[in-house]
Amino acid sequence: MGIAVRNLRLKFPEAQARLFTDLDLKIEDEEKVLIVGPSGSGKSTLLNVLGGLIPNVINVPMKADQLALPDSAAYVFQDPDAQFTMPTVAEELAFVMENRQVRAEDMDQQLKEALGTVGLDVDPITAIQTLSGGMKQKLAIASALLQQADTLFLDEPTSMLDDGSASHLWETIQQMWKGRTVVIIEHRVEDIWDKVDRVILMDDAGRIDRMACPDEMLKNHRDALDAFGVWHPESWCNAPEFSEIEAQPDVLLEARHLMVNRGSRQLLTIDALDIRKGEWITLEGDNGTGKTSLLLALMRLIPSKGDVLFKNRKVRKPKHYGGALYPVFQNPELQFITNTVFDEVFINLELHFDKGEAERRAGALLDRLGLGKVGHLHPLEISTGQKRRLSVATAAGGIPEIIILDEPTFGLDQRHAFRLLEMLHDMVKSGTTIIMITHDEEIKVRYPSRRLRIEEGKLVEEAGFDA
Amino acid sequence: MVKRNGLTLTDVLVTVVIALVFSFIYSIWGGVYTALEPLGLHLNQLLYGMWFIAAVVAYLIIRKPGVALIAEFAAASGETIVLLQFDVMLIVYGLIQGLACEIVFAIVKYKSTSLMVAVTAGVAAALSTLPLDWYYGYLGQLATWNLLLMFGFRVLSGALIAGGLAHLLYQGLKGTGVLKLVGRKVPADEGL
Amino acid sequence: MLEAIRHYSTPADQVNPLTKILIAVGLFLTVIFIHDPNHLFHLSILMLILLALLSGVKIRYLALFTVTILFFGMISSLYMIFYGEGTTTLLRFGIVHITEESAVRGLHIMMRGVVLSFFGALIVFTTRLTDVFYSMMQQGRLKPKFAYAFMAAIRMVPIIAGEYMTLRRARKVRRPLIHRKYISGYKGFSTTIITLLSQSIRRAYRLGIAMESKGFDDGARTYYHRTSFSVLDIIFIIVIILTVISASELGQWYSPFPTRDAR
Repeated sequence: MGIAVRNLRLKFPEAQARLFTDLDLKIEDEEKVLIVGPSGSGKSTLLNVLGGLIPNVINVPMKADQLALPDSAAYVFQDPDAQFTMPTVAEELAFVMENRQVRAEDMDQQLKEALGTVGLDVDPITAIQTLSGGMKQKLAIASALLQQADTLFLDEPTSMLDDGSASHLWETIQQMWKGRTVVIIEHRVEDIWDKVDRVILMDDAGRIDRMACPDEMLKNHRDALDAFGVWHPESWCNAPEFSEIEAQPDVLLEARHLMVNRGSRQLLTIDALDIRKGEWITLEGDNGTGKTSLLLALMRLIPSKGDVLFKNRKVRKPKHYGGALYPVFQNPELQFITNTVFDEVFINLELHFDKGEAERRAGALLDRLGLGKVGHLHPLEISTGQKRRLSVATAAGGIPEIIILDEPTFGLDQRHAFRLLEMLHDMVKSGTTIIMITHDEEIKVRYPSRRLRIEEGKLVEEAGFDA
Repeated sequence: MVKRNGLTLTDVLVTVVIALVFSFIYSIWGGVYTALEPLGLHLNQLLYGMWFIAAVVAYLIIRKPGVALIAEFAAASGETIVLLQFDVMLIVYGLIQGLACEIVFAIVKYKSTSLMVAVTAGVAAALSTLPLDWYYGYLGQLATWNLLLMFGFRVLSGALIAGGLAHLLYQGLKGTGVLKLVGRKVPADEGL
Repeated sequence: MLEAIRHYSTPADQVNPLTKILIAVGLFLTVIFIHDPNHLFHLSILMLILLALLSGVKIRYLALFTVTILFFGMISSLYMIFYGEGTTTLLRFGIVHITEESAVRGLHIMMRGVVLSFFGALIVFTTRLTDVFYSMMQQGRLKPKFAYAFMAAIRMVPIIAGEYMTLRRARKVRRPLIHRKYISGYKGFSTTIITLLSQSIRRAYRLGIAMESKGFDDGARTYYHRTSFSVLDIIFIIVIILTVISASELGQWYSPFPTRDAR
C-alpha cells in the first residue's frame, strides 16, 4: 500500500516548460509527511496528482511510469468558502454520505459521530456561513472522516486561520490521523513540524530538493530551508531587527466618542484615540471583536457615531482624506482596477510625479517586493502571496501618510514576509504611520511601537507598550 | 483517463455562478430598468439584453451544448435567489431566450467565439420572446410607432449588450487568466 | 424559508415544490388566454386571499409586498395605457394618448403580472430552496450534477455580495489618488464585473474540484431529505383550479370593467 510515483511528468498547457520532469516519490502506509517549498514549486499540483484529482477531475496533461495511488483519499483545502456545497452543517455532511450511498436513516448517527470526533459542537442545522474559520475547517475534516478515506491530503488547511484556531485545528487533526496516511502542505509549520515523520523540501522548479525527518531537517538543512524562503520553527531567528523609531509629536488622526455598530448590536466604543505621525501600531483582538469594523469606521467606509479628525479637520467621507489614508484589505484582489501589475502601482503615482519618475518609482517598488518579473501580468492572474504584496506596493510610494493593513503577512513565505516587514519599517522611518491588524504573535512582540487591543467593546493599550 | 465529454460538474457550476453574478449586478442596477419604464417609451428595452448576457458570456467561456440554456435558467431563477421573488414568467422567458442562443451556437458547432456569433445570439434571443409578448402584452393593439420603437430598442440591446458587451467582458476575463482553468480541452499527453 | 417574517406554518409548506412550480407554469399559460378583465380582477383578489391564508406571512410584510407588486405592475403597464390604440379618448397630452380601451388593456396586463406575482410569492414563502432541487432530482429525474451545481452556486451569492461591497469600498478610498478615468464610466463598470466574474469563476472551479474530491460523480446516490408527492399536492392543484373557475363566475356576477375582452 502507500503511495508510489515514478518518473512523473506534468505540464500545464499554458506553461513554457514542464512543471515536473522526472519526479519520484514514495510515501509509506500511515506515514505523516509534510511538504514545504516556495510558492510555484508545484506542491499543490503534486498533492492533486497523489490524490488522483489530476487527471481525473483537473484536465492537465501528465504521465508516469508507475502510479500507485491510495484507494480512497480525502482533501481539506485552504479556502473554506470554496469547499462546501450545501447551506447547513447537516446537509453538507449528508452530501458526502449521499455520494457514498449511505442509507438515509443511518446518516444522522454517522454525522453526529463525525462532529463528535472533530469536536465541532454545533447544532447540525446551523448555517455554515455563521461558523468561524476554524469551525469551518473542522467541518471539512469531519467530511473527510465521513468519506472513510485511508489517506488525507491537507492543502494549507490553516492558512486562513488565526494562531489560536490553527493550533487547535492541528490538535484535532492529530487526534484522528492514527491509522491513516497524511500528506500536508503548509506554510505555518510551527505546530506540526515535529509531529510528522518526514519533511520534504521542494525547490522552485518542481523538484524534490531533499527530505529528512523533522529534527534532522532543522539541524542539518536549515540553510536550504532559508535559501528557499520556507517557514520553519526557527525562522524567526532570521527575522530582521530594527532600531526603535521615535514617533513624532504631531497627531495625525483622532477619534472622539466613536461608536461602531454591527447591525443593531453595539460593537465597540472609543472615547478618545490619538494616532501620531510615524507610529507603528498593531491592532489585536479575538475574531469578531470588530477590528476590521474599527478600521472601516476610521476610514469612514461604514456608518458610525462620533467624530474622526485628520490633521484637526473633521472627516465625514473617505474622500476627505484625499488619499492620505490608504487601506490594504484582506482580499487584495478586490482592490485592483487595472489590467497589469505595473499599472496598478503606477496609477497611484502618476498624478503626483511626472511620467518618467512615476514609472521609475513603480518599477523600484515592484522590484523591492519581488514583483518585477510579473509586472506585465494581470493582477488577478498572479499567486495569492504576490497579490498581497502587490496590494502593499500600491499603498507604498510615499503618498499616503497613514497606511492601514489587514493581515498583510497572511500566506506569505518567510522571505517575502521579512522583506515586507523591512519595507514597513522603512516607511515608518520616513514618517508614515502604520496601523495593522495581525494575529502573528512574533510580529506583535517584535515590531510595533504601540499595541492596541479590542477587549469587551473597548480599545485598550497593551501593557508595557507606551508610545 | 476518464473520458469527460459533455458538461462536467465544474462546467455547470461555473455557468450557474456566471449567471448569478449577472443576476446580482442586475438586481443592484435593476432600479434603472424600472426608472426608465414610466415613460412608456420602451427606453427600458435598451437594457433588455442584460437578461441574456449571461448565456452568451457562459457560452464564450465553456463552448458546450446546454450551457446557454442553463445560464438563462439560472439567470432567471437568479431573481428568486437574490431578491427572493419568484416570477414564473421570467423562467419561461429565460428558457426561450436560452434556447434561441443554443440554436445559434449549434449552427457554429459550439466552436466559434467571434463577435459575430455573440451578436447573432444576442439578437436571436431578443427576438425569441416577441411572440409571447405579443399575446401577453397585447402588442398588436399598440400604436405602430410605439411598437416599432420597442422592437428596435430590443434588437439594438440584444446586439449591443448581449452581443457586444458580452464579447468585451469575455476578452477582459481572458486577460485575467481565469479562463486557463475552465473551458479548455487538452489532450492528456500534450507536451510530454 | 424566510421564517423570520412568518408567524405560522401552513399546509402549503408540505406541497411538493415541483407541483408548485408546475402549477405556476400552468397559471402563466392560463393567464395568457384570459381576455376578460373582470375574470382577472377577481382572480387577483382570490390570489391575494390565498397568499394571505397559505403563506403564513405576518400581515405588515404582506401589506408592504402587495403595495410594491401593485406599484411595479402599474409602472410596467404604462406603455399600453399611454400609447395603446383605442377610439374613446380619455386624455391626450403630446404623444401620450390614453383611451378607454388602452386603459382597460393596460390594467389587464397589470393584473396578469399581479396574479403571477402573488402566486410566485406564495411559492417563495412556503418552499425551502434546497427542497426545490431535492424534489427536482427525486421526482423530476434531474441529474444530480445540475441540482448540486445550483445549490453550491447559491451558497456563493452572499460571498459575491460581500465582494461587491469590498470592491466599492476599495474604490472609494482609491478614488482621490488616481485619475478618474480608471473608475468611472465603462471602464469602472467593466472592471467591476470582470473582477467579480473572475473571482467567482475561480471559486466555482475550486469548489467543483472539492465536490468531486468528496466522491460526487453524478451517479446513483441516496438522499438525506426525501421529498414526495402526497394527497396535499392533489388538494393544492384542485384549490388553484377552483380559484380560477370561481374567479370567472364571480366575473359574471360583478363586473367592474365595462368590457369582456381587453383586446
